[in-house]
Amino acid sequence: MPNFGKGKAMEQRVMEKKDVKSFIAELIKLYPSVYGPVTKGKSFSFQKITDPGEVRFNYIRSILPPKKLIMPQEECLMKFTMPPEPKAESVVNYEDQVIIGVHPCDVKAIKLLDLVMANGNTDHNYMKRREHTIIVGIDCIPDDYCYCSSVMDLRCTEGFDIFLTDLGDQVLIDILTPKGKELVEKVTTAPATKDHLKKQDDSLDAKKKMFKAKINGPVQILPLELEGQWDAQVWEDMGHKCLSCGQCVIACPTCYCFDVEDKLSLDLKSGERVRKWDGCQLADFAYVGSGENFREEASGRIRHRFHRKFKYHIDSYSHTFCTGCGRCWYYCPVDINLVEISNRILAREVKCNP
Amino acid sequence: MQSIEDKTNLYAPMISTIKEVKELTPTEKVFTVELPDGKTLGHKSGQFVEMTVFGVGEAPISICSSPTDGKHFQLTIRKVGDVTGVVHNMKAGEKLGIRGPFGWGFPMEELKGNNIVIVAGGIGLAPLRSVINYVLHNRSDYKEFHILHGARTPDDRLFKDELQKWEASGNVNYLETVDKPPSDWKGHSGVITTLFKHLPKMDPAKTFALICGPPVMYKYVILECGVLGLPDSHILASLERRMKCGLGKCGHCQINGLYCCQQGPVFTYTQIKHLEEAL
Repeated sequence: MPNFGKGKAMEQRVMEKKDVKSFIAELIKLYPSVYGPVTKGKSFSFQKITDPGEVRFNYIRSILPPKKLIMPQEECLMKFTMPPEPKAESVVNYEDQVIIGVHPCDVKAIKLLDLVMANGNTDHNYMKRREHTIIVGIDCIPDDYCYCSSVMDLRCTEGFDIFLTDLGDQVLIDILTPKGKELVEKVTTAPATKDHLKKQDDSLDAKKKMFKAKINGPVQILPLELEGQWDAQVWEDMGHKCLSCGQCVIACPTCYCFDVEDKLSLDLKSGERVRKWDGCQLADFAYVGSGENFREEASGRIRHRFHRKFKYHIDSYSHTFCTGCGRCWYYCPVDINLVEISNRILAREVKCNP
Repeated sequence: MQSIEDKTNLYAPMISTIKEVKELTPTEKVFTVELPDGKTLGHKSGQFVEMTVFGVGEAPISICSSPTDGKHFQLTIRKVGDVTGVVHNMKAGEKLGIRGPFGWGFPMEELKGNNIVIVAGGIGLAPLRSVINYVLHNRSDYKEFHILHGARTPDDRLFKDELQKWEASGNVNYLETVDKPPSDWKGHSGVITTLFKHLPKMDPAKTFALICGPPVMYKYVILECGVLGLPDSHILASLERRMKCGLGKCGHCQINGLYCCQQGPVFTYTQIKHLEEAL
């Protein structure tokens, strides 16, 4: 089992908000790569930071989750030379990196990916990059598409190295790992007082009341509630709307399905085997050579994705694999969302084939 | 930073050599493959490998030779896509990449002392040929041995020379049928389920059915196994899915919550009867 960002908070300290910029500047000096949320058009994106002023700590969800920095959209797994005498060498691309400004939903998502990638056949490429990644979490303000309060604990207690909470003029720092402690030592901080911790509790209480989107019941009962609802009308209804564009799976912080393909260099003498993100919502995902497509209908694909988030992976990992980040909903061109599906499943509507 | 890993990476294949290519039909060939450095594959009947054609890609292929067949192993490949299309043009001496073996094969040890009924449709004969040759090699370990084999036409049948050997051996009750018989065909005709009526009465508690064929076949064959009285746990089906990584990660081969590449491709009917996506 992976042990990244696990355990009780070692220590809680506070820093002055005006020192945050110099803190980031220090990180840029010390680490080959520091990533953080920056403005991209009307949205936000995790990019390499060269100027601390670029970082937008008050951002609303990034277009792609920070997952992309640990499991890139495309990565080389192997380099080979072509026959007659082929050679193959495994490749891992990584460097020491700090990701700052990761929201609790994405911290949780990375934690879930850690579980998956370590399970059974450990994914060496993912693990190598994860070992070289430091995560600086940050608290956030939910918008209309956020529903993390329905699927996870609002208090972020694991999966990060340090976690920042905005207390006004000051920032509370939860330090979880030795690496995180090392990081905090680069900046002037003071021990947190009871007053600071109370302010953190108050801000979480206030946040709890801000969510508009809610799943009407504990998600832990969804695996049971899904029993007998394989033919529920909700799958048909969503299948009719779905364009099978795959934006939901690309935007999802816990989706990790991939495709592997070989790319040849222009001289045709060597090549790379690359892994690319893939998605179960795309029409040919379960297609086999003989011509059979095992999930031919959009309704079946949506049902599959929902089961992966709220049943299969709960059975295997004891965690709901949706962290309520709202990306799949926000980016869906036809407004399909897991909150509505969950609520219809919990309401046990009449089946389409009674 | 990029590191070339000396550790065995799960995605890096063993560079292997094609020792022999034999045409079975215009669309199917059997490749005999040798691993590097005198390695043996160490597979079980029913397992598969990921085969690389360098520069084209990788495809999951079931192993059609028996573990008892010696150092090399064989793959029956139908020309259906990019990788399989290119490999069909390759010759002895050329190099392939091999990863594996992967998956859960047929539990040949557990089946000892029982009657075995093979149900093979079309290219489904390939993984079951591994079982058949394994059982023939260890014939005294098993009791009655029946092979039900279905193909579209007589010409579509794979391993025609071996079929005759099996039939002539006296060790096996070999039954075959074709969907579209030519006028000079003297054997059975019709779908594979029509062969079940020719099976003798057997003790269901001592009989296992091992099934592989086109997706449409399973439901009907399993019904016939039910008529024979076989318990669900005695019905073993090898299912086809798109197994891309073989490691239980990429998601392509998932059947409900199961990964076909890890928990399969051989499943008992007990495992899959409640899975809506299995059959």
